[in-house]
Amino acid sequence: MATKDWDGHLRNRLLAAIPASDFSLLQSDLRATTFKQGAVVQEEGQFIEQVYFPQTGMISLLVITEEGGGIEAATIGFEGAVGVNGGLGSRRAFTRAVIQLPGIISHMPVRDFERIVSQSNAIRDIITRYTEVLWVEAQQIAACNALHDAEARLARWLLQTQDRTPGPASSFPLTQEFLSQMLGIRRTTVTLVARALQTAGLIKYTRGKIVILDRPGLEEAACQCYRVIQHETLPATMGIDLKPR
Amino acid sequence: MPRYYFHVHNRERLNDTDGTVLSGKKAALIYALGVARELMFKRSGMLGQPWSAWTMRVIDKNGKTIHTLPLAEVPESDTQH
Repeated sequence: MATKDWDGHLRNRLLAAIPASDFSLLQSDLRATTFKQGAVVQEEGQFIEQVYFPQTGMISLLVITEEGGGIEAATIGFEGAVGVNGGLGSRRAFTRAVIQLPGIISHMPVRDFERIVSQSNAIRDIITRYTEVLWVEAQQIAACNALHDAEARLARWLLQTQDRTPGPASSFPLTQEFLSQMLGIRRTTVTLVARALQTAGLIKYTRGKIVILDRPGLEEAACQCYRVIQHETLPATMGIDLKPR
Repeated sequence: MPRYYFHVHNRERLNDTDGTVLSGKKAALIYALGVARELMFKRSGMLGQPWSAWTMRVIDKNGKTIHTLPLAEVPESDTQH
């Protein structure tokens, strides 16, 4: 069955991985909205209300500590979704989801999503597998944050960010404050490590913007965690075929 | 509150262009130690040079150096493995 996709929902590769007849159940409830950088779309501890499928841009899942600080547990772009486990029944969010790079995101109320999931084994299967993907990614990033140096982590983070943007984009609007929160290190450390990567010719770093100049060099500077969470390989190992239809 | 800049150099200069607002010289030293530890965590050097080749300088807004920290002499914190 051919489905018209006026709103670009199928630019999200998880939606594109759903069989066409099952996707058509979702289509009328999906809305595409442009979100600004910094917008909070899910708050830790609250019930999940919306399910988000980025077409462009990116969402970070942040673990929030009691002091109000946070650190990133996962990065989600056009290869993934936020809140899909709410489709398996009422769920509270364990993380804050923040728009990290502005973009167009397809979304729908979780109540409608849950109703459709109950009618579709294929969608339920993809949700379950994708939840496993996120779990692998989150545990790898937890280990990375505890064990690896700031330069390798910044390199890993830039690569995973590039992977999760369509194009892929080579230039990102990112402030030191933001990267400081993503990586759980002081803002000044972010500046100095970015300067070191720039001196090595791997990136160009100006206030509020990072350009990737040498991707192979950045892959060499990154820790092995990048390979584990690479979106080209991780979903496939979990049985999700992300090839666009 | 004053703004301080935390530059790191050997033959290369890595400049902290934005600086950070802190309560005073003592806070600037504590912050500098924190940055140095984050920078050195799990690494033996930077840009192919060992930490013994690198120094951090804390500069105030008038360009005056208020602290000089040879990175090899920065004590390890308890959080380092």
